[in-house]
Amino acid sequence: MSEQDFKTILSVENVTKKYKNELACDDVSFALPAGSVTVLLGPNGAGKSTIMKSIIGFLRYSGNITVAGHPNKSIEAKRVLGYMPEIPSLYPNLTVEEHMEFVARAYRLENYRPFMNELLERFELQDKTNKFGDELSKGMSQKLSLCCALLPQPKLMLMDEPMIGLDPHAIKELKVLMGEMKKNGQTLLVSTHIIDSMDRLWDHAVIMQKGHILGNVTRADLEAQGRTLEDEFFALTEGISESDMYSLTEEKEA
Amino acid sequence: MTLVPLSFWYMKHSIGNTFKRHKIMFIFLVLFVVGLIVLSNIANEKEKQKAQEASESGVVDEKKYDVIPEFATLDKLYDTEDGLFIGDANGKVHEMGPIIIEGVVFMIVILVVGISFATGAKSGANFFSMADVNFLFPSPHKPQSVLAFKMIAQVGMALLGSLFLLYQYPNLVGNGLFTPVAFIACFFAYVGLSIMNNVISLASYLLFYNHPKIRPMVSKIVLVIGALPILIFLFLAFVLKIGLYKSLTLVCTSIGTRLIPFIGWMKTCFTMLIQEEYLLALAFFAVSVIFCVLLLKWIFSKEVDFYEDSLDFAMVQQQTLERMKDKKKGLTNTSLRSKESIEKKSNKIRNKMISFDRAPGAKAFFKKNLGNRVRQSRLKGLLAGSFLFNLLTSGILFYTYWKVLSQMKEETERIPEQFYQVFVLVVALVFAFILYFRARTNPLQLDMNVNFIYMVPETMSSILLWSYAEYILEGLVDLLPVAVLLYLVSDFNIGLALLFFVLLLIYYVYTSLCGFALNCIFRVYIAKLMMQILSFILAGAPLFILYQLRGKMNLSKIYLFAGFTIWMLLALSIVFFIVCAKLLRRGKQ
Repeated sequence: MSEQDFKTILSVENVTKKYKNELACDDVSFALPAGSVTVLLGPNGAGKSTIMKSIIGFLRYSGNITVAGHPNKSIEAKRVLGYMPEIPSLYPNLTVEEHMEFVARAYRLENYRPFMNELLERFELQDKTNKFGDELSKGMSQKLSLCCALLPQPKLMLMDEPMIGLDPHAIKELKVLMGEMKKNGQTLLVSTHIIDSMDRLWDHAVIMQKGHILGNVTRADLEAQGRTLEDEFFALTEGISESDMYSLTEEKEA
Repeated sequence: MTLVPLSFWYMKHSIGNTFKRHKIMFIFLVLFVVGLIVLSNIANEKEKQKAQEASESGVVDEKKYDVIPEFATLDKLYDTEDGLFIGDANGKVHEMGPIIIEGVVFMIVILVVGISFATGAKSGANFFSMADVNFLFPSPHKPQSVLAFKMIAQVGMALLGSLFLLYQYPNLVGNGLFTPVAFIACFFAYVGLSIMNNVISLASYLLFYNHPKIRPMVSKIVLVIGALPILIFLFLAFVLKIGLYKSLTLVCTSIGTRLIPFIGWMKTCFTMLIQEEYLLALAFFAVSVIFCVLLLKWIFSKEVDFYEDSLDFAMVQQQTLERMKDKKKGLTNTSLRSKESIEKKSNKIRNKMISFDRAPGAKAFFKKNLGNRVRQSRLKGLLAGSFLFNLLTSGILFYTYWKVLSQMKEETERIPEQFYQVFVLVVALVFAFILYFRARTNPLQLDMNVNFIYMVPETMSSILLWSYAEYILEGLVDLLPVAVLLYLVSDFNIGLALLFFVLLLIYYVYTSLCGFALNCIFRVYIAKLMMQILSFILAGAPLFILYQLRGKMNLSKIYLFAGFTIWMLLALSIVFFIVCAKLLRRGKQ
């Protein structure tokens, strides 16, 4: 059975992750339809990064995660998965181009150079191909990390706070690229706490707080109710709607 | 093993780029080593010439044979022109050299294997960087392949790092201790041990990673096992009194010790290499290699999920590197600590607050460091773990002194004054060595992590002084057991004990200031090896000067010797203090 046959590309079932006595994720379950853009929302410490790391296979947890029908830690699942970390980390003694080559070799990519050049150009790194990992600024490192994650063209891409550290041009480029990926049938799971950043792109939203899922909504549902994602987020996390919040602020100011 | 070709590709590019980027540093290093070899050869030729001239004229170079004449009163030790000999209970005389060599090698192998095993159990998955985590862990390969990738890269780095051993060539070959073949053989044996260091560490991690209750105990068990040979020797020699020779041979060279898996095999391999018994060395080397291969086979057959542990360590390491990259340099000493232990410690110390009352300006650094010391203390007040360590070491040294003294008292009527002076020197040397390592983490280096050090409206000298005031206070407290020990081993000579206590304290400050100045000058991460060599040279410089003046500063003039050393260290410390203040001022600008 090929990966395309799966309507649900990612399935997270009853995932619980504990760090010593601290519960980072408690019985988390959700599923992603193939070809969708899902945004994982939540305040700091909600457990977004933990669930992302669990999906990519970095953490030990209880529960079940499958990617395209395969256990997430299997090689088959990893062939489908791509990951962009929250904090970029590069090899200090490899150049920008060598980083891309490293990823290409690790994923055994063939004829990757045209796409590599395209990515470098889009993220304005083409004139920095000979710069070393430790010579890049934080923003540049973030861009290179993004290019490396995109190079294998994964079917399911996990992005942990992808906009942080990027300049406006790179943010615009990334949004355009996300749109293109969606068109190509690739699935995106984007973790963020900046709701506006995914405003036009998202199809599904999973809202988390204190390790629990508070809501799992679709754009269509919310639009039918005439509500925004921001409304839904504050209603679930703070018990108030966005309009209530503004009126509260106005009252305080008065 | 699908990532093996990538590992070679990575090594080729990473090492190649390192050489390209730091050409000048490597040229300097090569010139330094080559220069040392040439100089040492010239010096050795001159020494040989002098010795030949002396033997022709019938004059004996006494300097070479007066090292420990008084200790010959242990009656079974004979210091002769042909080396050190030891007499057994039957009156037979045996050469000491091979026994000492095997004993020293035994201890080194135990140390290396023990440390690898203990750290492996605690943090065996710590050799992945955050870049490995981000690029390799999500890639479509088995964890074993990722492990193989890193193991190969580590072995490559170990090989490269071993090149610094060539620096020892002039010392060991030039002085006739090793033949060139034995040196090369030892070089490869060292490389083998470095590789095994990684393998054992990993094996230990895989063995205990699923047993969180046993993991913290491993290091304690290893410590006890590591100390066993010394304890057995002390027990045999001083409690059972079976004789020094028998005790030494039983512990160091007996067939039983040679058959201890891996440790005994490696020990025998090294010893045979030094003694140029190449066939035996090869046999033991082959057994060790088979053991290593079997261990690797076991490691790669285990299906272990080490990603989470590796991620934890890589994150801590990344934070340290980030700080260094931001030029907020300083040694945080956290790279090997696990997230859990940091959290545990934070919770323990969080409740003790530091009061900054009556501590304006630069004095705040004194108060802050003092407060930190108090809240991290394992005992009460200023009595921290370093105090306990010094207390324990002093206890062991005193026990050895007491045992040797009682044996000498049985054999001779009058103990020569030189005996006590030698013991005072031994104590000073042991603690100078400990202080050299302790001095690498001084509070000011941690203060450099924060920008407000430059915002304090006082001179840099004042900030430096107040930060060091606490550091000196720490030294004073930590060295208290040493002061008592010096007083005891100097035969209750308060003047001598005080002199050496002050000497140690100044050496403590001196080495720290050297390290601090070097850190300020060489901020680049890659210069770590170079910095270690330079810091070692600077820390050893006073000893080198004393060695050059050995004719004038011998043991009969021990007060003059200690006084001169104090004066020299004080002068050097003041110079370094001025240099450090200038560097800090430059940093501020």
